Amino acid sequence: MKGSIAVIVEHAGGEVKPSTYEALAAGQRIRAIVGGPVVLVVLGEHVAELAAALRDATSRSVIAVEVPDLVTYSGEVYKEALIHVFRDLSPAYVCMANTTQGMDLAPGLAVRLHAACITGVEDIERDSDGIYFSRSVLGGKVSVQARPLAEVTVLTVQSGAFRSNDTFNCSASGANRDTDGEGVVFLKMECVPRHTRSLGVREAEPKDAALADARVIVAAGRGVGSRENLELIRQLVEIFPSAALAASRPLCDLEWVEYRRQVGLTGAVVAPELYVACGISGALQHVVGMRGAGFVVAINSDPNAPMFADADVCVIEDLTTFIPILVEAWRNQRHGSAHFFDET
Amino acid sequence: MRMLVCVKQVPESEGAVSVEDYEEWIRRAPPSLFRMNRFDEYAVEEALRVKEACPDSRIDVISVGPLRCEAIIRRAMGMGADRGSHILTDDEPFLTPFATASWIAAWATSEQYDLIFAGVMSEDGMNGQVGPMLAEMLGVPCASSVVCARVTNDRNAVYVEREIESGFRDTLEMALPAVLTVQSGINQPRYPSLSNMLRARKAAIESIRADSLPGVVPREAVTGTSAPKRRRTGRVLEGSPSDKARELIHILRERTLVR
Repeated sequence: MKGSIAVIVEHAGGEVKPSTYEALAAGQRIRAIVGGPVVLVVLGEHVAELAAALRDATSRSVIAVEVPDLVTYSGEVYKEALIHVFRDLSPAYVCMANTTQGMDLAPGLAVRLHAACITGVEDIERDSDGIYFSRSVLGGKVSVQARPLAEVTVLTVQSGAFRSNDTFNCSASGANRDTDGEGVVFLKMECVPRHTRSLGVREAEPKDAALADARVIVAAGRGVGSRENLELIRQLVEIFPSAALAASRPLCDLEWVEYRRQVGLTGAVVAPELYVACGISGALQHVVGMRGAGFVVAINSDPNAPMFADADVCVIEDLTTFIPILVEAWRNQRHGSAHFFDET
Repeated sequence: MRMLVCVKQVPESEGAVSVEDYEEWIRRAPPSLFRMNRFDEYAVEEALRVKEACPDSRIDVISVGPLRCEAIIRRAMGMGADRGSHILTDDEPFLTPFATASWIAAWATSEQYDLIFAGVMSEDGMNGQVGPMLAEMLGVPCASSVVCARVTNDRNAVYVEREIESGFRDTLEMALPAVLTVQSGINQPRYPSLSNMLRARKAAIESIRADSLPGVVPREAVTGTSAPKRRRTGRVLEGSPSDKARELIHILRERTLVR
């Protein structure tokens, strides 16, 4: 199947990760532009049922690679197994999610395949020169268009960039499925890692329930400037009902805010009614954690901050001067409206 | 232990940027606008900590880029790295990660490193590819997004924790030699010390012209830049700070989002 579009399935505990469907949606987009069959590839121990469930849910052909002892992702084993599968499949495009797994796997796989490697893809289009891929650079301030110059392209798909039109619900433990059906190719592979030994996955940072339950999230970024200025953010939290304080990753790395309050790709994904981003530049790794918010206000002194592209209301001000004025304005209006009610 | 840290110089991203002509803007930007990629500061610090735990280790640092990159090589030496090398290129804002990794691999092959560190990605290119590609080219294992690294007592392996999604960590042991790409927050990078900076200022940095290394045929190319797409209305409030504050409270009150 030369010229096929392979989509790597990411899964854990018998469940397909939702990011897989975004990679699949990107694969479908490539298919619409250049043609070629879309094939899902799933690797692991006991993946037969999962493969059948995927075929039923997506109506795409699936290659199930049964690898004994492959319980969690292993870069070494995935690369070995995929190289073997691709010898026959010879895909023109290999799509995977831009997760920590995809970011770990894609570059090395591309080297082995002599392929172009384009990571964090947000859009796929074509013009007279052919297909091209858009991605963010400089923390999201600039978007660039990248074109493959090789016969094979490995790409990772940015979370939230490609919405799948269908919602799939795929689980190996679902119905009693006919695993011998059409559209699933089974391969069995002995792949023993030589250099690495997996010791399992463990939970490190329990998520903060306060973030999931909050109606309003006030989030601080590097723009707060100093630890002392976090007090301003706390004062701002007070003017909202059922509000919680959150932060972007740099403040957690500085240990100013606990990691459990981090919003973003590697932290919590939140969807409050209101999200107030204070001094957050708006790097994609943060933005993917808050795109589900109902209404977004961004306060930043840099008019070019990418955060403004994801905001409903933009305030271009220094937050250390603006937040006290904002809290004061809230007090005055509140006092004013209370007064109004007294008179009526 | 012989260690190598790959560092990159990036433009200060918080500042103003010309989106319309980004490449030309980068070429003309003054050297003061550039600094070490933050993820690479964590990588240098992690190598220093391994050296502290494993005495008689040596840390080399390498950067690929134009002449101005020397500043960050010296900064890494100021933090405590022992030796600096520079693969000198023309000022190309969109050097592909494949080219960078190929040159570092060509240079590192003869050096027999036990452990190679890189940042998980650069703040400007955001590709996250050089570390894993370098590992593949050298034929050694790689772990990315590393938030914990401990070399075993026999110095034959490294225990690592990779940060994965939703607050989980993937744990594994890798035989040395290996490449680790370091996630932010793994440590608190130190500031360069005065005595180290004085030494670094005088130190000779080995300079290798990229075009003297085996040729690299690029596998992808950046062909254009544009402003990022808007995803929300992005109404910009106008007037004095007080005007904006009143307007914002009004907007939020209409939506019953304030007390």
